[in-house]
Amino acid sequence: MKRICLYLVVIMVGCIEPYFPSELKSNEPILIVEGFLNTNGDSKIILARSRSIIDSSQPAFETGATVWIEDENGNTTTLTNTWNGNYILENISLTAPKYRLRITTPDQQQYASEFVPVLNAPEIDSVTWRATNNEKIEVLVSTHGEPTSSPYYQWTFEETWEYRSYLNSQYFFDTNSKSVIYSNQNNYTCWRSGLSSKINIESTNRFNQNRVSNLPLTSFGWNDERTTVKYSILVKQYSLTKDAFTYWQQLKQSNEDIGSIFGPLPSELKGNLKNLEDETKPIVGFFSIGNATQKRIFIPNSAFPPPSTFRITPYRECTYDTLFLSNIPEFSGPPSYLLGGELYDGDRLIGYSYSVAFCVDCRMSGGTNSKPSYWQ
Amino acid sequence: MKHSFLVCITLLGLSLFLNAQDTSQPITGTFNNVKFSEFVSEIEQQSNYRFYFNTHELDSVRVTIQAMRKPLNEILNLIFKDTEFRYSIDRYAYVYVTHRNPIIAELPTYFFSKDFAATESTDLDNTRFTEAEKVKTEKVLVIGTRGTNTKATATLAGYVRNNKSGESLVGVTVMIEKPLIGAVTDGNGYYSITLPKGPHVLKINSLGMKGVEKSIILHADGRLNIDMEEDVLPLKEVIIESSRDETVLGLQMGLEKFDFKTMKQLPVALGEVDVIKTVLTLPGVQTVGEGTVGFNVRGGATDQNLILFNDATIFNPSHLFGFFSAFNPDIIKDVELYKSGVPAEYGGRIASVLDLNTREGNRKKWSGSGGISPITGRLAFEGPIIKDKLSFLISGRSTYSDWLLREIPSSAINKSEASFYDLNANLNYEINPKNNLAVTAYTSHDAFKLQGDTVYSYQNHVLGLKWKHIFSNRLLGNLTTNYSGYEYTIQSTANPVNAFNLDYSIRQLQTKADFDYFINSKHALSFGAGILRYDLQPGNYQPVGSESIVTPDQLQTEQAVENFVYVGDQFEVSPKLLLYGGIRYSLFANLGPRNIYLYPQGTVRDAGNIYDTLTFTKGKRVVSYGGPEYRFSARYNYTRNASFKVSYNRHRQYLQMLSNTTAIAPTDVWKLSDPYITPLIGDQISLGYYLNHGKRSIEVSIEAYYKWMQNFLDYKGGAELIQNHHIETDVLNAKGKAYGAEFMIKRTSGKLNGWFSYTYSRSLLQTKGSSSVETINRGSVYPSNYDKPHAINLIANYKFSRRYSMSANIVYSTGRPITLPVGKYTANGVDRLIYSDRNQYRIPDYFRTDLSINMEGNHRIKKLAHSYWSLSAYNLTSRRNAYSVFFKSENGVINGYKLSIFGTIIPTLSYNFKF
Repeated sequence: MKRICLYLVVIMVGCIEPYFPSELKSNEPILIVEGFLNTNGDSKIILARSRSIIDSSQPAFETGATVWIEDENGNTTTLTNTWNGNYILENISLTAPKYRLRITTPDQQQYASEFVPVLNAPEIDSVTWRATNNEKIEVLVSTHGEPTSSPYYQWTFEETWEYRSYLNSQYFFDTNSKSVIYSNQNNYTCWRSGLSSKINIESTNRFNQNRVSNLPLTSFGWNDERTTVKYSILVKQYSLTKDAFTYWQQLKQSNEDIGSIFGPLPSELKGNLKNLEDETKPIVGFFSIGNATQKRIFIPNSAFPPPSTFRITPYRECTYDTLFLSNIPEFSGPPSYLLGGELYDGDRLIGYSYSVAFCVDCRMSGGTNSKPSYWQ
Repeated sequence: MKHSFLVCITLLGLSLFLNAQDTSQPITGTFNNVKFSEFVSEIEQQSNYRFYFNTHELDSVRVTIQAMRKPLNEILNLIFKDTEFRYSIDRYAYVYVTHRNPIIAELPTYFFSKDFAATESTDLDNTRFTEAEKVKTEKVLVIGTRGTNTKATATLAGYVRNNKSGESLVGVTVMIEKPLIGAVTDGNGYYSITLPKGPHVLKINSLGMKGVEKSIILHADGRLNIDMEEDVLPLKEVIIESSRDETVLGLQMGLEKFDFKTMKQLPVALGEVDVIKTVLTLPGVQTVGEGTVGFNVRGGATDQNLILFNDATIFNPSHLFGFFSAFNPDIIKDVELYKSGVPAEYGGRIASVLDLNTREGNRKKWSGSGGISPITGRLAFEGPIIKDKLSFLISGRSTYSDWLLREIPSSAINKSEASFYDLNANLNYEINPKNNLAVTAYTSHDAFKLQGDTVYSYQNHVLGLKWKHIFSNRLLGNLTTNYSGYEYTIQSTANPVNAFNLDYSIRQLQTKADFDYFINSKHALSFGAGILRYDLQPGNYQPVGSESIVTPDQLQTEQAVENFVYVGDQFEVSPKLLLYGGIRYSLFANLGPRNIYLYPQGTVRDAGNIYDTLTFTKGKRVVSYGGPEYRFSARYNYTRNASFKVSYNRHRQYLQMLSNTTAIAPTDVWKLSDPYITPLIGDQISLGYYLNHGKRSIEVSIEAYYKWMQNFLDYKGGAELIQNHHIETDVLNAKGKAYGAEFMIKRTSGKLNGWFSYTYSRSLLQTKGSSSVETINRGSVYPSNYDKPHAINLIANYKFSRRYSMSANIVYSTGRPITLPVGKYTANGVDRLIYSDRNQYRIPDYFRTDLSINMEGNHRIKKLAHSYWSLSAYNLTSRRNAYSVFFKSENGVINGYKLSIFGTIIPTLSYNFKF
């Protein structure tokens, strides 16, 4: 196991190394509720079940629960369980100022959240980026709201970037006929995407304006795969209540800010939901509802500064070889190899470059070759 | 042991020889089977000789002798031949007759130093010297005139001082053995002892000083100042030895004392002798982890220790994130840590008192000291301004760690900066023998910038004035007034729009008068009163620069007054039973201007349900608290070498630190008691058994205690402690209890000495509010952050020769409790952790071995500069002791980590000098 030892400060030789305590008690699975019912798009609530930290199996979800929202007059709208623990609100017409979430789990436990106000986020002023002098690209968000509207914000994002495989292939090798066949299928350019994993929140109530200026959301190295062709990020902005902000802040502290000498101690999360019959039955989570706003930006590779080190891509170890036309009869072909481009001696085609499939087909490193609809 | 006996005999012979030169008066007479007393009266008539002896003891001695112009010693030699009686004659012609142990009447002072220098290179057994030095005495002193005092007793009082620097010596025992009567010098080096009239041998023992015995003849009340010689031998054993009589015979329990020499011998992490690191080696003292200065005494929180620097409170005793304590070790005279049985003059914190006293400055000559280690450099100067009257001591210490940071090949670190310094100045003026004035000034400063752009800085300030006045032999008083301040600043200007500056400060002004009244040999009374004024600026958040949109935000200032009076009496019921009873009454008032928010009764306090605000104008009392604090101790000497002690203490604390991090952070804030945050109350019962064994170089002690704490501060999950306008909505009221037993065995002399201690202790909390939000761990009892049930400390010093010595320090303790997640869940592709019950797991056990080698320069007493090199290896086994174990969600995946502070061996070489 590789040890990462850091000089934390001065002469003190601090050392952080991977570690798992030998005895971890596992509790009864706890019902977890996560979600912001975004009436302006992905309107979903996730019901999950906690599991042991050392459990590396598939995530556990709560399926088959009855989930609905309810206004203060008792009008209800039911959410549909689409897949796993995802519950979707399909017919969005929010008319009341406040709603609460109700859940009946398959084991007939009744849960309810507090009534929360429908909060509409202000428009995002800008999503920008800057290159820092430690060779990072930082994506920043700025916004402002009405002085009287909520000073608490949360952002999530979805980033997508275009990348290319090691060899551009227009041919494939047909093992049956032992021949090279032209193909128009694109497996050279792919798109990879990811969701924000960090909790991004900010409060402006220490400022004299309800304004967030250049708050860093995410960063990656100049040599990251994201900088190779084109990068795009879609930032979603939510307005939070004070309680929701506190909940996310606590979750952030216990999950991300932990581990430094003066770091906060982890603490028990409570949230705004409870079991209606037995308050001691644990449920963790926070229910929020409102309209999110969003903004997307694109950054082409030409805009990024050149890194001082090799780019970190899945293709760093790739090499190619040449398949001469004369060698085609003996060539064993796929699945382990794929052809790249044509090789010419003057005007004469003499063969094809080839490499292992992973280096040729960009889909094999996890991306998709279908161009996203929003891609520019 | 045979050797030492021989040395004594030789010395005796020498002394007799020398004395005979001065005082021989020939004796003539015929005695036939007469009583010894008759013989004496005859001799006294025909010569100047005066005899001192115990009539009872010498009843059996009959004298049959014929003498014609014979020297007295020849006659006495004949008389006492084949008896167990010994005698000595001093130059004043006083003759002492004793049973078995001769009094060494006189010995020229140069005798030893001469011999000492001559034997410098030979490796004599040290014990011989120690034994020999103990019997060294000076002339017999006559105090008062015979017949002027009609009472059976008389009081002797005076100062005990260092003969070289003229500094007063604290905690020196002055005692006679028959009957057993003793006194201890107070903070000014003053003692007062009431003894039966007649001849006595006063034994004076002190930390790091050569033991002195004084033969006195007490006729009436009188004054005797005693000069003690510093033990120039760099003997480890000397250091601990002096207090050994006190361990068994003293009343105090739960008291740990040490001085610079003890600190110096311990292996250190970064080449710097450190007060608080030394405190951490004592039984009953714990810390949450390495690199923190905060310490926990017997299950108390770090803010429950009263840290006094020349009587003034220090609020943050740390430098450089806590890797150093904020005190320059060179200027420290002595350190006392009270863990239980705290006398009534101390108050304000419930767990312990750490009392640091600096030296006063050499009153005889100019001198200096200093040291260099890889991280710091320090220098101190002292000397007389007016010889024997006015002296000064100044010292400074600073770090040059920035260059080290820049050498580290990590961009995150080499952009960091850290610096600190501390300065100290003392002035001591002995106006006349009855009046003494001391001024002390101290400041410490720290600034650091880690990776980012935020600059943290903090300072301690102290200014103090102390006037000692002796009213009479039996009554003396101290008037002390001092100022203690602490402030921190956080500044960030990287993003001009959000640039800010945050200030915090606490100021404390104290005036108090303390008196000691030695009523008689049975009663010693101490009493006093004082007043403290607190002014806090709990937070001032301001924009920096014109672009900043930060809203200025200033928390309400806090101010309060604390008054106290106390009286305590030490009562010697019999030589075996010694009692102390004390009471301290403290009264605290939180004063306006202040706004107090009101919350509906019976609901969870929350900013959202404030229904009214009460406004208090300037000086108006917001709330007051107070009550008696009882202090009681008793010692029963079951034999000369064994005693039982018991004590009970109550303390009230009106100032608490708000902190929800593991270690003390520089940004932790102190908070005064207010209508919602009620004062901490701590009660402790302790019981101890103390034993000296085998030539008294082995000491064994066992102490057990039980402690209750009320109104302990606990925090709601995610509590915000900085710039919180209604902190009462985020804090919880907990109850605490702690119990344990400390076992210690100590060898105080010999080539190999040191101590071994084992401590079993628990520290538990319970937070049970009216609602689930106000309850931790469902209201059940849970261990505190510093609950470490088993702790073992072994400190061993071995002296190869007078110049080379080696020390080893072995520490083991149970890992501290931590909160680990009860599970994880996945949502939107991200793994997140959830936590439930607090402190249900422990980090791995702690184990560390340190080693150090001290190399002293040669030991000529007179030379330009004394110096020593110290080579130490901290964490010899390179064990990666866990500071914390934690799980973190990184890129949506849960990873477990262990953080160790000193993950490797740290060798340091430091050079220290004294001139």
